[in-house]
Amino acid sequence: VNFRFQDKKITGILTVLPEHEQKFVDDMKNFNFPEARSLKLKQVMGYDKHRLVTAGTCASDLAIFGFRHLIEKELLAPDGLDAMIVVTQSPDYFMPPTSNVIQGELGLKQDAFCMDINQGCAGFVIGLIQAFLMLEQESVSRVALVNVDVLSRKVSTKDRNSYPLTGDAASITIIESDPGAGPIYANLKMDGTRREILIIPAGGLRMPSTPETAVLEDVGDGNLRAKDHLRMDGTAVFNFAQVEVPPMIESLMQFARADINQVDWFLFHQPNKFMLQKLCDKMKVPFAKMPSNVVENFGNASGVTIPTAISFNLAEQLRSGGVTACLAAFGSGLTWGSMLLRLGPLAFCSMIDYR
Amino acid sequence: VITLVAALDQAFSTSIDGTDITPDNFRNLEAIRRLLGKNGAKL
Repeated sequence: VNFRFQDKKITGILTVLPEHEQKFVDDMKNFNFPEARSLKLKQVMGYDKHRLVTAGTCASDLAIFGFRHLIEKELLAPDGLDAMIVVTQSPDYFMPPTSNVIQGELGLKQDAFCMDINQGCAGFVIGLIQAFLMLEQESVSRVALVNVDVLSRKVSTKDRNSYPLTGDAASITIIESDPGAGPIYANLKMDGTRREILIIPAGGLRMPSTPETAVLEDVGDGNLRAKDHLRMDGTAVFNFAQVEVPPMIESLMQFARADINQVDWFLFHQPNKFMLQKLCDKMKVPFAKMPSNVVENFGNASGVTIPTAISFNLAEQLRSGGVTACLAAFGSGLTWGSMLLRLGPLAFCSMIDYR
Repeated sequence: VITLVAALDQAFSTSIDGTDITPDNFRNLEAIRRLLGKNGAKL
């Protein structure tokens, strides 16, 4: 699906990171692999440290902390939001929606459209598309997009496939109507036939959690995980991104009638440094134009990695000026999407620690 | 596989195409040799 939007823009981005930092060299002690092999993986994938929530911290806690920060700093008026979109795969509850939890805790106005979207690593692009669609309504002029995940609570610490790259975080992105703002182009694809390559098998109604689903198993790759845990077929995910993302970007450029060389920054989802390097090689894009330092510093927090990459690498530049950015996100579903837009100047672009 | 690809990239001064990183291409030494040839490595 292709999208074209006009008269809308991102006006602020805040990233919220848990204060607790875990180091890969400490994680290694839990893995069933020789230390030398894990250290080689660290080097290639860019694993170093990741931010994780402590027991009991939920998605809404990070988001509410971020909103309170914005309100206290007078960067956001509590009654100024017409809609809130929460994209998460680690909600507080099956019901009610996490967006309603956040709205209630903050005391936001009732005349607001709150909705949850169950999407993972593609969640920033999907959330932006949804926000832009909402802004087509005259009654909606400002939308808060919350990307948040605390998936470390659903990943086995003995799974070297997934645990070292996992991070927890939230971001709040404010999107507003702005008559005169330039065009924004996006595209989006989904393939549910490949849904099992990134899945948490148990815990839903298809396979309810039981004492049996909590038992750690070695499924033959040396990693120990339970059916309650996230399971990623790393090779299949890697191949999915390499096959689908470059043509998606090419298609986006054709749709926008843009030249890929006009893009200042390629702000892609951050699964690991190696995958991003391979995508750059394939697309013939300079690696220097694609920030790839999120996993090594904070971990991969699903749909939060793109706003984290923006606020970590481009905050100063975006507070004072603008750039042409190409976003790309890909993950569970499978879902993949991209977007070409002018980004900045932003009223705020920063990172804070959740305490 | 990923660490092997990184080592091959470095040793043969190439960049193995990401779409070629599938289990079949690393099944045995002959498959790896074919893969390197396809990706322009000088063997």
